[in-house]
Amino acid sequence: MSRRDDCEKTREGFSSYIDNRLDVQEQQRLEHHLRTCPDCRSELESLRLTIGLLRRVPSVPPPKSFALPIATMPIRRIVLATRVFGLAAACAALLLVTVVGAETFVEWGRSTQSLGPMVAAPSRDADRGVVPAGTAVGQERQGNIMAAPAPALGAGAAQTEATPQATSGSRAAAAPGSPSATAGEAGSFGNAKQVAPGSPTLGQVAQTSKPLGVTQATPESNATDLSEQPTNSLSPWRVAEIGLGTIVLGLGLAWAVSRRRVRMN
Amino acid sequence: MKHLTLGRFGKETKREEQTLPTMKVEEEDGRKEAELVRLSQGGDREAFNLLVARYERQVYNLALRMLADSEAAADATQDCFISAFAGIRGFHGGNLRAWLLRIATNACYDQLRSLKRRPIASLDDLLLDPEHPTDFEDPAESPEDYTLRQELGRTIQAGLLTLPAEQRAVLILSDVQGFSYEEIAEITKSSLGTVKSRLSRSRKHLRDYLLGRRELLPKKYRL
Repeated sequence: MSRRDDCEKTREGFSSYIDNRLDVQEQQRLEHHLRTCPDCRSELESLRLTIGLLRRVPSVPPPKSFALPIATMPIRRIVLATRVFGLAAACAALLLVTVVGAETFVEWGRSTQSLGPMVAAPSRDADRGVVPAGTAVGQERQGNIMAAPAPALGAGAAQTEATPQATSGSRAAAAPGSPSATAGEAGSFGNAKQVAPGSPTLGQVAQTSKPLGVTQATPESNATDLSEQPTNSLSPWRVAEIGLGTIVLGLGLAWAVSRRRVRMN
Repeated sequence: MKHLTLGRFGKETKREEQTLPTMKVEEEDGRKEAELVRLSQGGDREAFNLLVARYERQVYNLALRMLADSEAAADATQDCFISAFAGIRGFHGGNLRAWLLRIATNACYDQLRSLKRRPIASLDDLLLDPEHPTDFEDPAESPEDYTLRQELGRTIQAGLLTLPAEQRAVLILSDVQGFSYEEIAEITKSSLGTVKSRLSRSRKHLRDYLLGRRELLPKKYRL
């Protein structure tokens, strides 16, 4: 081994030698080399001085006490509560998204079914059960009153031609001045049999009335509509969405408060 | 050479001054510590805070020398004790000090990552607060010597920052705080061979740094 290699190998052991961590054999070999190598002696001495300086580095007192604040509730309970609130809020949010998605899917399904001979799809209001007055009479219909484009019809003859099937039943109910007739005048442009002489004709009513959609619906849609909620009330979907939204908000707020307590503690 | 730091050097000085048998005191301390740990594991914060009072100085000084920033060191120290309390049920006996310092070292690594440490811009951060002198201040030390020692601390701190984090931690634990190789291996979760290797390299690196900046060292301490 060259002298340079010997010096390198010796210096590798200096750190352990200073700390008395060399085995006896290694220690003897190193000390033997030091006796004959002034450069390595100088190297060792500078290393000792460096370690000595490190040992003189002052200890600094902490700027404050790092004691943990004494919480009124054990920190673990607060952490557990935070997790529970977070999980519950996430589940409620997921349920809300599912309800909204389901409602959208159902709406889409209905709109698909109502296409075809119909002029317009049932409106959203119609699906909510906002049914104009006179819908009850529409139950007796068996055909599409708008099947043929109707010019302004006369009070009597056109009624009979348009809906021959429903004539018998409706006529019995539809007497001028009767409640059903009054309701028909109010807004149902589809109840031709109830139109009293002098009252707005089908064509006139169709032009002036809003396209409510109910009377334009197929019997199947009518049956569905009639099972809906009464006018101006919330659908079950909407109730569920509002309820879940409130729950999500409440749980989210509780989670945020718990999290803040964890951080403060 | 006067030993003015904590750790094995400080302990030796302390032992000479004690009147009670050292072993008995240590045994008593050990029993009390075990009891405090047991209470802390049951959620007793007051018991845990007694442990905090016992070790916060060591933890803070390790963090301070690792990070060279008193605010970052305070954050790391607080994080250490919060994590320690949260995880104390995972402590199944053994060296509590080593366990705490391991958490502290990891907290320092986290701080270094978030701070993206760079070579220190200002040594002013390392000035000791003259209102709070160290416990190991030598009563015979002159004000000039005190000032010189502060300067020394700043220069060495700058040198420490040039080391990789793992070497820095080993050097601080060994030569600043006085831990043995075995304790350092336990704290850093590494083998004895790794500890020796890192210590050797870090000492040589710091020595070369100080030799290259001799003019920064007080005359008394120049290599």
